[in-house]
Amino acid sequence: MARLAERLAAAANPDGGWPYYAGRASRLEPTCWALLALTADPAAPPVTLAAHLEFLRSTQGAAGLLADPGTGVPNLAWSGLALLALPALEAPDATVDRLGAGVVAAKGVALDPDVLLGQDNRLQAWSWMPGTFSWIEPTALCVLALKRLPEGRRPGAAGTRIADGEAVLLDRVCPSGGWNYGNASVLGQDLRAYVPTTALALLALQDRASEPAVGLSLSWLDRHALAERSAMALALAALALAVHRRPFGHVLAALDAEDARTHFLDNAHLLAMAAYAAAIPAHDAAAFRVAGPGASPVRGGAA
Amino acid sequence: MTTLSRRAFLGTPLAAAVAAACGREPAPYRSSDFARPDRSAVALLDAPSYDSDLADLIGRGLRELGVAVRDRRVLLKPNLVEYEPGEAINTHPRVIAGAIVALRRAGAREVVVAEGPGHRRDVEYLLTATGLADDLGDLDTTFVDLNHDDVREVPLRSWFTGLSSLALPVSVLAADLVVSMPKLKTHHWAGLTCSMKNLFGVVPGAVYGWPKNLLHFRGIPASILDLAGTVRPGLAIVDGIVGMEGDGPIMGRARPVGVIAMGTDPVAVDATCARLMGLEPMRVPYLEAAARYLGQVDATRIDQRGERVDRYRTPFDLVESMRFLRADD
Repeated sequence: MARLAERLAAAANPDGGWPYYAGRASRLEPTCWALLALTADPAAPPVTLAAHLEFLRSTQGAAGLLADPGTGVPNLAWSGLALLALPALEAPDATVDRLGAGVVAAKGVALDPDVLLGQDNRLQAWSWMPGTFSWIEPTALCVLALKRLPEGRRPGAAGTRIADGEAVLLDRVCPSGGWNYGNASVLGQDLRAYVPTTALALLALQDRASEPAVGLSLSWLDRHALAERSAMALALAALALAVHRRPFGHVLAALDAEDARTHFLDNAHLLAMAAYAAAIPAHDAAAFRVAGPGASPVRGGAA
Repeated sequence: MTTLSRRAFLGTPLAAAVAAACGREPAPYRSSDFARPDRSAVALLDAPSYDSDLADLIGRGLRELGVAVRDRRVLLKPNLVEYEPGEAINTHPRVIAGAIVALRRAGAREVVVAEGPGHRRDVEYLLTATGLADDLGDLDTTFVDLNHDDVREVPLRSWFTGLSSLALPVSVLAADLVVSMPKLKTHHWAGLTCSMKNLFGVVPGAVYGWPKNLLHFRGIPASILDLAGTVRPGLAIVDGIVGMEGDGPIMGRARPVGVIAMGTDPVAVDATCARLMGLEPMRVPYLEAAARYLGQVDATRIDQRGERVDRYRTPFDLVESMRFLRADD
């Protein structure tokens, strides 16, 4: 872990953010993951939070949502990810409160029913960007972030929006268990589940273990956790399995092997995800846990 | 996402835009920005399998078409969208490798491979699972992840989508020659996906989401037109060695055709590929519109180089809602 964290710390830009690739501009997603990774593990190099938080704050628009610099397009998934990360970083209350209000106010558009898609298009969770349809990844991140907000910090409609997001996740679960990106089927063909989307949805639904879809999907993830060899898939799989108190040590071993094979494409976002996951034995995936009866950790996660 | 049958198409914003392009309304582009070629050339090159000498073949296509490559920075944009073992979803790595070698032999100053996968967000997985990472490593070739590249806001040259600008990757904007390298496939919403639809991959997912959701909302044919008119790929190289029919672009079935199609007019290339697949190009909404200002669809104005279309014509199966595209209906 120390080696991953040192590489990650060295990849920061002078403006306090992290780029996806060296030499490129700072972006929201790698910055959030880098801060999660570097602040979660006591073995990581110390970080001076003020500059990093200032980068994130500088991306906040009038509606409270965050937009990657130079794009002018608020990103709901990265706003959800930031809402997950910022409270743990002791970000200024005003920044977090405005972000929370922005996330709660954002809604994917409702569409007319379409028999070709086999889902409830009227449900409105979170889209990638305003004015488009709800998808699994932004929905999972926003649901999880809202669930993790302390009760006193939750915007008024947070409970309703959490229920909206859960409804979309449960509506879109694949027949085999797990999640594709947005649909469970198209034109009568069942779509395939993927590891990253399944892991994110399971993190968002960690306190809904009694839902049959959650159990089915967790079993799917148990079987497929090593099927997609990449930092993104392995790191998220390890996180979801850890939070659901399943063995994950074998996934961390595969993650280490993946670093040796690809160096994670020298992508700081992937490096940060891997660094956070590799340190789960130390931090128990605390930043992704929803308080409640299912939250007690299993240290080490030996298979 | 919506299904576009011929009947449904008549009621869409694109239909209104096509009407505009016919002169009944102000067109969603400035005619002075486009110089549709009077004639276009498309080369069809016999490639029975991926074991063919594809560098030699593509080099021959470059010479047939007179493509200027020397000292240019070339960006190859393949279709790398999803991975399932044994499925014909992506531009085959051997075609990409063949193009890299051919373009270097022709004097390109730099050749990079760039893609922003439109479905599978996990580019590390896609590169390694497909084997493309190994081929690029062997050829010491850089891969640019267009979903996460730096971006610059650029005005669109047409407005079929109603958008005036998009943030596009700086690597695409800096290239001297963008080469669209699609897989020959049917598409369950657009009819076919070829060199023009392949440009969805230059739209950065980290900004506009997956599966390039903004474009789906603004209409797939309209988005194809705006991207093709703005990015303006200077060359298309189509992997038609094994295509995909049925429920493409991901869930369809492999369909061997045995051909590489190349051309400098993407409209003419897509029209020719539609004919290869047994489709009537003027029934494909985006080609019907593109024929008015962007490129050639008329077969009598497309100079065929290499092999004849008839030799490779292979009627592709289509999903029910797209069967109105068939040439024999």
